[in-house]
Amino acid sequence: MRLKQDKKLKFRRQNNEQQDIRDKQQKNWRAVFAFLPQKHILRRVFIFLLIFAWLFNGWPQIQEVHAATLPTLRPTADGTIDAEVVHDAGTAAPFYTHIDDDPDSPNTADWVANSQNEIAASAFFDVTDTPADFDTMNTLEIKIDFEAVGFADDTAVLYAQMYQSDESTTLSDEMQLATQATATGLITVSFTNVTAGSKTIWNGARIHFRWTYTKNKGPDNAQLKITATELNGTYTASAGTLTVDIVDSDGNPVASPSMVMGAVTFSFDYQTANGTFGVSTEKIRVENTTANPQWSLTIAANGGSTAFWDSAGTDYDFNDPTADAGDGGDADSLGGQMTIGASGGTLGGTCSATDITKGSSASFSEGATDSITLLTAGASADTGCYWDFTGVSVSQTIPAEQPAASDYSINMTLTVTAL
Amino acid sequence: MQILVIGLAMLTSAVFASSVFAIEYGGFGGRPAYPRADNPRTESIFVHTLEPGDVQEEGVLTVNNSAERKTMLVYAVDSTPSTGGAFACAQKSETPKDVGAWITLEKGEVTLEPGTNELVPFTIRVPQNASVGEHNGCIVMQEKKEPVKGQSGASLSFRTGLRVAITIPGELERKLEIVGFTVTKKDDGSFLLHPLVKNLGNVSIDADAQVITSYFFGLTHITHGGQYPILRGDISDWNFELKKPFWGGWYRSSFVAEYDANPEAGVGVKSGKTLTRLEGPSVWFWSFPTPVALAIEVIVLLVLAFGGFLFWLSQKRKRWIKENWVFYEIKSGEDIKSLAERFDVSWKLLARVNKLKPPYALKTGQKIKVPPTK
Repeated sequence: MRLKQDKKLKFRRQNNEQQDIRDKQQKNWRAVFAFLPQKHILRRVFIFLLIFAWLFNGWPQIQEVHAATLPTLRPTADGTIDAEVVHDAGTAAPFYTHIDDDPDSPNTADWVANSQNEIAASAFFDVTDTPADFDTMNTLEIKIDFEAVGFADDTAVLYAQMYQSDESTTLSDEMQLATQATATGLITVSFTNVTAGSKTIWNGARIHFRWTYTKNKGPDNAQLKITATELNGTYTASAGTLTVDIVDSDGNPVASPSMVMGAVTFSFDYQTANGTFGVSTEKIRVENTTANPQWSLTIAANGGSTAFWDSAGTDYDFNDPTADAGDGGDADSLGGQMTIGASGGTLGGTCSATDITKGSSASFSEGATDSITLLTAGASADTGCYWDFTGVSVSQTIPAEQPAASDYSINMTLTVTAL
Repeated sequence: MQILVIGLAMLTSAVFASSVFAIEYGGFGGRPAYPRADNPRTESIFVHTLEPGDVQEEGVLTVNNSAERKTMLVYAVDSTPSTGGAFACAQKSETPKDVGAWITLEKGEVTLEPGTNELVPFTIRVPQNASVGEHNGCIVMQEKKEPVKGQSGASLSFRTGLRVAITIPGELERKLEIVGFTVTKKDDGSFLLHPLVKNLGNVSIDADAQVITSYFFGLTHITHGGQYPILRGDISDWNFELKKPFWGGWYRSSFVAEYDANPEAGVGVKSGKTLTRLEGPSVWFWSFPTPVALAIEVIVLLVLAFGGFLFWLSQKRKRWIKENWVFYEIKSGEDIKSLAERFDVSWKLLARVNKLKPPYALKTGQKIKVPPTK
């Protein structure tokens, strides 16, 4: 009895503590939102704003943004290099080969620097083109291996800046990399004000090195040497892909998808097997993450116009237009015809149905209708999302007296084509 | 408070959703490796104007954005017409004779790790006898899969095609013709708007096809349509679904197509000049109202009918008063109340008919209209 009472007391105490915590939290929230109107008004305002946002933007969609890591860019060619720039072997071009090694494992005997005549110097170097999927530059940093030699009381500064291939349009701010006082070794500086640009703008970009030199008393004949250079950063990859697949109810690709047809039994008369293409467990999913909204989704037999329902025994056709599953409408000696009706299908998914049209019901007919359109997307269709298409009707006429078999098969291909 | 936070999150994402650019999703496919700045369509499809005998170097960037290693077949095929005039890519099993035969890929198979891409260069060699006009084909990417043995039924495979549009210069004709427009009622009460347009020229045309559905009094109910490519020599048709109109009644659907007929236009290229507008037939059709609309409409009709009846009644009474009421001379001591009692009528009606203003005072000898005595 005593134990029970203790437990009750303990439970009440815990409840009270939790209530205190909740009260404190509520007080905190109230303090934060003290300047806002009453709760019920807030709720109305939010509901209104939500409806407003929905009307003008559609419901929010979860979208992925991918900032890719830029492959290391290094000098690949000489740009304009003035006479005050020298390298370890003198002044003969090319210069870039003296600084295109890895700053983490530099060849320090191989360098580019200002000449020793104590005046300003400048050099442009062409750098590696951006990757194939480059869209815009996000961040960029320069890494050099550096050495200051011969300085007594003179001063000098080394700067770097990114330019377009014309060597006059800047792609970043000019950054100070080192002075005569900078310790030998690795220097990494992030460029500021980096132009996002495009692949066209960044391909052929130049890195510009600039040296300033101030003599003090007698000349020191000193140099700021760059022994290795590279550029690293991040970029936004260009738009994705246009794909079609069959997915299950959770959106996972189905390993061996098929069009399910109703079973029929042997008959002395011709008959029709019906089915539905695109069911909740095998949805046709078209995903378009490219920038182009225009595409078409079509279905055709892998074997083209001469394909047929194949079995170990007798075959039958999928594209003979002869009535009542008869033969004679095409070159082969098989009867039967498949009809696909997309117009009754249902569109779902994260994309809207705006500017998506469903194909008309159509039958395969050898040489005349070898491909049937399921969907067409116009110029105003959504991108960056997917459609799930279900409920496409399929019917197949089967010739009279067609032998019963469980191995009739045909291979069909769904093609989504960017237009 | 949770509602507040969730609402804020949803609101923020809804408002700013359009400023976020979706870049990477799962899937494999490809895109042109060398898009041109002067034609945005070249970011998605291959567009070239080439003379007979020309050789064009190109490349397709194959992409694997999925989470798995993929081996893709990459091949070129001709285009083939699909139903509704849609563009389709011919099957690999079909021997190419047109653009598919002009293309030679450096490799026919690529294996890509997740999140990687590979450039597949190819060459387009236009034969000397290529005819003037637009020729179409596809670069197709298809996952390499071993066929499943023993599977019955219709098994499916998937592929992504990139259109290759090659225009051979010469006398290029850009002309469309509307060949039909029908409206069909479906079992669920909705309608299928079905316009058909034929391309009479020798190049494809991006046409802005619009079906405008209006109420019987002319106000636009809804517009369907968009911009679609219509391939040379093909008849394109579209099925626009018109949901069962809520209010019902007579509606009129009209089909309009606009396109750039100027020779400077091309695939993804606009001439900037005036567009050619084709106006197709209009179709009138009847739609029965939805049950809710019908109930509202019946109530409104009843209210209107009752209001009309009241109006008719009041007009009738006015006419009767005008024709039958007689003048009466006010005697000493009479007021509007006593007159109303005497003639068995409301004092308000007496005041209204005689346009008396408050305090409704009557002078002896004044003549006012009163109901006739029985």
